[in-house]
Amino acid sequence: MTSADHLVLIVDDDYRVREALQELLAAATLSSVAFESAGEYIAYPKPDVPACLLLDVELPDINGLDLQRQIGDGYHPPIIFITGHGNIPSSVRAIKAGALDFLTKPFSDEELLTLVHAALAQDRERRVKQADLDRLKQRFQSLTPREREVLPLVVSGLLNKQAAAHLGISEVTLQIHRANVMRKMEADSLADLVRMAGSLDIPASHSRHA
Amino acid sequence: MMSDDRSITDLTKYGIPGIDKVPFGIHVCHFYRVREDLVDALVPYFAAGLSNNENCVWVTPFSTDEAAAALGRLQVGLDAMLDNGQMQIFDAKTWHATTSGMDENAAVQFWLHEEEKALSKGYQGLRSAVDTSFLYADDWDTLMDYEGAVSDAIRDRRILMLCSYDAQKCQATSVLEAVRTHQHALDRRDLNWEIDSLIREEALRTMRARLEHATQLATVAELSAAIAHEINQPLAAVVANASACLRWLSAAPPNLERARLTAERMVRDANSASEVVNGVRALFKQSTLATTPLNLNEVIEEVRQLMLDEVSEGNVSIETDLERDLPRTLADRVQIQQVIVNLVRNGIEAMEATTHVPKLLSIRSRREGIHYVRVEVCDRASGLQDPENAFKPFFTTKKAGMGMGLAICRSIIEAHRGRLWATQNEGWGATFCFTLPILSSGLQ
Repeated sequence: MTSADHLVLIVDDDYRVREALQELLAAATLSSVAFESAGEYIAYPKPDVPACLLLDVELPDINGLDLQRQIGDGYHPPIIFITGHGNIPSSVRAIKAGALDFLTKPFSDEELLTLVHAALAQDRERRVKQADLDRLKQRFQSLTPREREVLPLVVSGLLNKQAAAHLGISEVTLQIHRANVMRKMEADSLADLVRMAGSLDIPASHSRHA
Repeated sequence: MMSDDRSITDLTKYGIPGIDKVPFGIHVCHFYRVREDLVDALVPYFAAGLSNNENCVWVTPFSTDEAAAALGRLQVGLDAMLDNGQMQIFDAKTWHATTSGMDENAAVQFWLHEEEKALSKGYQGLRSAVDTSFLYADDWDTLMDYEGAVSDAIRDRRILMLCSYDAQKCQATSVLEAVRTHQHALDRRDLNWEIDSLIREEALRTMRARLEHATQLATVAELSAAIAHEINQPLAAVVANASACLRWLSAAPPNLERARLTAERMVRDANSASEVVNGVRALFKQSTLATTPLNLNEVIEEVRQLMLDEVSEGNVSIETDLERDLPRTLADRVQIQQVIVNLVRNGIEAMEATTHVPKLLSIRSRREGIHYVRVEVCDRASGLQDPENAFKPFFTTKKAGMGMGLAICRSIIEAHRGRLWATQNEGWGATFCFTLPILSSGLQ
């Protein structure tokens, strides 16, 4: 089951609810794995696929909201809370802390499956973005120290002459560095390089008019 | 002296027009102006008591014949009740003459003793009305001391006491004083009687507080949240399984195997929801008990036989220490069996994790004072952190279990006018004890 391209993680202390949720997800061709406690969930080595977490608010070892806070800092899949008796303060707390939604038992299959699909899509999108960023970071790592100095000057829109003067090198040398940066970063155009610098949080540090 | 909570768990019809049900243990002063006031209030008051099988004592300013005649107009079969002592009528003058030598403690003890006698005869309680008009003129202060002592003494007993005061003869200060030494005051408003409104608020408050204390139940809000949760869990599973089942059926081709599996789970989970509902109903049910004279030693032996398999499966040994010639009690055999089975089973399950000492469950029966028999079930498990918690509905330490067992056991024992509680043992484990009233000697 875990070899699929997605995974729904379930944490609920009631085996009847775990069983039924897994069955419903299976009938909707969704893979899932279920845990009885927050501890089991934390210990489980999560596969590297888009995922979402169906989390019971009332767990035996830890309150679901506390678990959310505990895993809040690191990466975690989007959370859909499930509760036997939804009350407004805890729903608000959960949503504010980043939960996708709050389901009150018993819930309809449509409601649940819509949310699960939305959560998986959100996680998939986040993963694509993360992968893109990882690739960019790798490319940036391949730059030489000099090339890393050239990059912010170029994306600031300085003329070659201005950038060369700023670094105290010849214009020809600067042009060679600039071509290497474009190639290593796999940028098609200056505009492309500017967008990449934005993703990498590299500030455009100089104005051409400075 | 025994004292327990059973007396206040139920209400009894007060009978006086305009007043509904009251808890036992209340002490009311009653102001009357004319003779009709007394008849109008006290005749239905005693009729309600007699129909609830209470022992009744009327100390009346009328002659006993007049009082009997007035009561007889409302109460069918009064003569037989006068003969067998369920209804006793004394005239106030003679009564006060014979009791005037008593100090207040002796007088209070007299009523408590009457209640014990009444209960041992199988009555629901003791209901009295005493006319004070022959007393207060002589010694008002002593009367007030006595009244105050009565209020304190009967609070937790199955006694209703109503003291009549002639309002014409009372000064304003003595009315106030009388009200203060009683828990409630009863006065006439038009045709109906009313518990004095100022005092009524307090009466309701104390009644509520005492009911809460007596039943040891969680508050209604807590309880309903717990019940909702317990029912919602299996219902959520049923709904999700039903959705899954429909999906398996409408798949192409239909997956009948999985559809069948989910349908079976629906049956199982719906049943577990209905078990919760039944458990809740059993907890609150005020059913009539099928009571018979019962030897608890026999019931304990039966349970032991019934549970031989469970006992050997759990590697537990049971020892019994049963008092010979244990007096019989009047109880519902099946229900008491159920209670003992529950306690024994809890003990066996609690000792699953016991390894450091032999798994031993001891059952003891003893006479407790002159009115009760007591049964103890003692285990050698890890014990109870808060013994009272164990009786809260839905409290459980088990993986599978609803946590209703002990709450239901307690409501059964209390319905039998006994008590059920738990204590932590000195060494290992916990002891669950219950008491039941002894059947009166005439019926043994």
